[in-house]
Amino acid sequence: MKAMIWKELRENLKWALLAMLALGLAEFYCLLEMNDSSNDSAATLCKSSFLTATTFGCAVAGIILGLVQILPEQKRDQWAALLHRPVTRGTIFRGKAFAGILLYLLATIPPFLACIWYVATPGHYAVPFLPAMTLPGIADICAGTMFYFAALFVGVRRGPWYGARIFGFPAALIGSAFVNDIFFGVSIGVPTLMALVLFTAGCGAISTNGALRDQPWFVRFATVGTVVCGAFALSALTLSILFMFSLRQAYYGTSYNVDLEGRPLKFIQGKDGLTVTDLTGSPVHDQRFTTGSSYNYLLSFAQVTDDIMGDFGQRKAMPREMEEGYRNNRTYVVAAAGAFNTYTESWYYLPQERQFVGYYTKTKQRIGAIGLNGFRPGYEEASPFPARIAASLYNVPAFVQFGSTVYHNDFDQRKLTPIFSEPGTPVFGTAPMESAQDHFISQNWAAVALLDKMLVVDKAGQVLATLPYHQDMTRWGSVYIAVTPSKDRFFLQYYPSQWINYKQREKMPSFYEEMDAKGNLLHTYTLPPIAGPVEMPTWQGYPMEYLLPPPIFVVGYLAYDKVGALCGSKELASDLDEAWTDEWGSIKSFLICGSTASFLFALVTIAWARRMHFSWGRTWAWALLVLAFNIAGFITFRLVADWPVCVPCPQCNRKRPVEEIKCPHCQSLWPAPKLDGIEIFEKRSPIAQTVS
Amino acid sequence: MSLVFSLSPASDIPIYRQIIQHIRRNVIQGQLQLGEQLPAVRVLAESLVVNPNTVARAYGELIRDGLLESRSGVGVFVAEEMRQVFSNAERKRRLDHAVEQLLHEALLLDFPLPDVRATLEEQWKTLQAQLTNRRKK
Amino acid sequence: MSEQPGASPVIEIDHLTKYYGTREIVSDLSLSVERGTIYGFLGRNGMGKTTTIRIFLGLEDPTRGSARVFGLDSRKLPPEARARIGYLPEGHHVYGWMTVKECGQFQASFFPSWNQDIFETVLTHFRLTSKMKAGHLSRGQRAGLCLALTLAPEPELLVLDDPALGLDPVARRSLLQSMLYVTRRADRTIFFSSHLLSDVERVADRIAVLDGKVLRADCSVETFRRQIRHFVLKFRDSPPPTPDIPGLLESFRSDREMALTLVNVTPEIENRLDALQPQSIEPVDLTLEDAFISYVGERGEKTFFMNGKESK
Repeated sequence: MKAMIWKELRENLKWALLAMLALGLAEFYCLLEMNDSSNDSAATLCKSSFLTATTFGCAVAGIILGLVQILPEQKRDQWAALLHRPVTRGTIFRGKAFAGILLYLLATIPPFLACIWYVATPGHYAVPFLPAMTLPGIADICAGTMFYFAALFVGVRRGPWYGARIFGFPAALIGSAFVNDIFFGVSIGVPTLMALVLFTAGCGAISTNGALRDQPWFVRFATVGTVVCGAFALSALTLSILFMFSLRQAYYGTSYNVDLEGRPLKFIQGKDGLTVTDLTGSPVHDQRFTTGSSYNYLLSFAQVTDDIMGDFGQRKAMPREMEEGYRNNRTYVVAAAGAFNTYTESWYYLPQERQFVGYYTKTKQRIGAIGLNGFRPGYEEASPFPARIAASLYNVPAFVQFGSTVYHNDFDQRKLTPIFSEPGTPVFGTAPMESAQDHFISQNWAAVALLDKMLVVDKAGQVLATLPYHQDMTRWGSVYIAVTPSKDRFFLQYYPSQWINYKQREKMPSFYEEMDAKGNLLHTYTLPPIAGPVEMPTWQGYPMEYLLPPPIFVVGYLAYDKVGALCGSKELASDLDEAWTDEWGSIKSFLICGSTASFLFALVTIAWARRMHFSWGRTWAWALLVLAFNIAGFITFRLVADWPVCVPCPQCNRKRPVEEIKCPHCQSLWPAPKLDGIEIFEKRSPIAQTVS
Repeated sequence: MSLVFSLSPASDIPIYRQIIQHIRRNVIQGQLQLGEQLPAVRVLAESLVVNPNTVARAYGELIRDGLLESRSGVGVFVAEEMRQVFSNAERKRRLDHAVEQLLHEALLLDFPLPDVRATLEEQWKTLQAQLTNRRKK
Repeated sequence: MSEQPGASPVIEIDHLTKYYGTREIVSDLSLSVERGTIYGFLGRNGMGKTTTIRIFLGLEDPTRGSARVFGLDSRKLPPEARARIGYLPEGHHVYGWMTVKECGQFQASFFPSWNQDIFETVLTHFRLTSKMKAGHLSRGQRAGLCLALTLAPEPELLVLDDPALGLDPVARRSLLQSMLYVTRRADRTIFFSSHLLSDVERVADRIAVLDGKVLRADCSVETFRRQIRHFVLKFRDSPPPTPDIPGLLESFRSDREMALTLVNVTPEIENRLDALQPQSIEPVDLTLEDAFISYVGERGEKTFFMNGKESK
């Protein structure tokens, strides 16, 4: 095998170097055209344009290197010469694969390392670099191996291109979908598993001359698995291209607002335009509301909390920092201030380190960090805040909350000043107040949500208003706040809490409460629930419902939820409940439709298999696969099963399989070839005595 | 005998027969002495680039005809004395056949019988002389 | 692992049938190759020779029937068996970027029994040196290299698929010499396919002819020649219509003559020829090539296809 590896390396080194060059150029191009913009797509290794280069680049590199190892050698007789060697075919394949992976790593790792070096070196970008930011690139490199093995499989497997062969690529595509998962472990684990499956399928493909039946069970499993995944991907892709219209026709359009005088309004978006009414339903004719800048004439509500009293806080065991996933910039670096290069300073919040860091936009050097112990200049580390930040940052945060302490934040002064902190008083949310009319409010006022009341504070910490709640906070814990331009009346808007499943939430009303600064309740308005979006599947949507979902996934998902609910997990119980409601569009409908289609496909499978003279054992095995996997299983059955070739029987003229000695209909044997009298057959004569 | 001679493989005469003819010619013309050893089957086969079985067959037939003899353990030799293996009838038949060929050729070339006779006698004398000379050695 | 010649067959093909899709390529082929023979495999292009070879080497699966090499099922040839089989596929493929020496090293690493002397001898025979790049070799030199690579492991069974294709006469001669060299040992077998009948005649013990998917002849070269006979019948006037005789391969009629090529001539057939009452019947000896062409060519009456008046 060493010789095999050496040969493969020597033969294909030039391709690996070419790929390395191309990848390097592509990745560097993406790097260099990133600007340091301090908005959500900060210039890091997690930036989507860079990750596009790594995702596609590594996949393409894998495909090319795989094909280049197989296709040029597949001139019929050269391939025969390769395979006729005193080693098993698996050994030959393993030699190729080992060399190929080395070449692939050569093509993908050095460019990536160069990019890491470039980004990590201070002075290139006004953005911090964290080692964890290399994870997405690493995941992409790992996923590319999947495409490499897929290319080997596609190259090696015998048969027409449009047959089971080509399914290696969409199978790899399915695996690559998991790269976008939130957890790094999943995004490495699933592609690695898929790569293993494709490798096994490739080993099997090279070891057989076309038939599947002599292969060991795990090879058959891998081959079937590959094709099923590929078929699933292809059928999903095809169906969604064919039926490009959305599965559901949603119809949004109704919302509540409050005008500057404090009057609640209902905005209804219809097919013919916007209609504005008050809460009783009588129309309000005001030109200003129908323009694009209607927000200037309405109160701006800021969301302060998701829920206050529910178990939503405990529900997500995953840290909020990871909610965006390991691939998202915002998991590592969140732009806090100084968007775009027009500002002299760019400030970021680091969720993992729990501190702020700032950079000079021009020189790209680090200004310093702001942490619990205040400002530390240069590249010094500041100590992290003890608790995580309470809300995702989306714009310049004048007010931030760590744990139950609210801070006023001034980057220019490089100071974070605590303005509200009472031991024993949990804070459920903080938000700067919003106002389209008065800029001062947004910069200087914040709302702080406590257990039983909302406080409005200024940047010095002075309490400007105290607004007690008058609703059931366990169920209406999602609170928004607005203030009138006159600054004397406050509106709280209560929505159903996030932990309640959306089907129930849709039926619950929401509330406006109007209060003065002392908390006296002036008005309460009950807002009837807005009819949810009308969800009807379009006629194009039906095929996707019927043909696509593999019942096995759906059943597995429900089983997982059920088991979890039985074990006491409220979240899974709620998911189960949510899935199993009686309306169209739920998992239930998927299950019914998908199962119906699967069942029909399975019947066709059984009929077809028996006609093709499959044994009952094989028939049932394939029928089960089709039942589990719906159309993907059916396609796999057609392509992967050892499909007998049939020709008309010379005796009874019905089709009979060429591999069988007896005709299944008339039991006749194949006729011996006709002798036409010119045959010359001679019995073996002893080898002439060689006269010495 | 020259080991390599021109075989015509794309000929209507089988290869083994060409070998036989070549050996016979060599014996008559004197390149092969009486009692001389012939090359081993394999050696001749490799020099002619033919299957050893073909050479073996040629040798076998010549042994049967009496022109060659096999001494076990040593090799194949030209016979000292030509053994007559054929019956008189068979000998006569072969002679008739050869003469027929000769006369066809002469008639086509338009030679009268006396000229043919003269040529016959001339060549006969020459060959006899060669044979006698060799026997003396 | 040498055995006495004539013990068990080296290659046994038993009722082999092969389909590509619904097209039958080989039909009910049975053949066995004894140890120590040089077996020529003849047939027109596309008749299934390469397919048959691939099947008994385990590179393709039979549709029906079976093939065995060294007594082992061809579908499951273990590496040890493959070490004893030398296979020279058509086309003489080499890895162009390797030098001759590297080709040797690569091949040698697979075979436990590698004879470097043989390798170098064959190379020298074809005038190849170590440093030459395989991609720059001429067709004949490539053939020599491939032959050296195949012969060096000293295989018991040598399988050559159209080895002389594209070779100049000198290279062809060297090829034949190498083949004969292999058979110095009595337990070595050669199975080769070829279109060069003259070469086949030189080296083959037996031939098998594949014609129209079916094995039509399996005999020694001599028998094949003997069984195919050509007669020229002369007539006083225009010859009678061609008789319907079993074994008639070809016929040709002209003004006063009828030429017939027949196979498996029996005395009864000779009587039927006499019954046509010709003036004379003259047997003509055929070369192996002519015999073969008649055997596998188109049956029936031949005309000069250039001469429009006579074409039928």
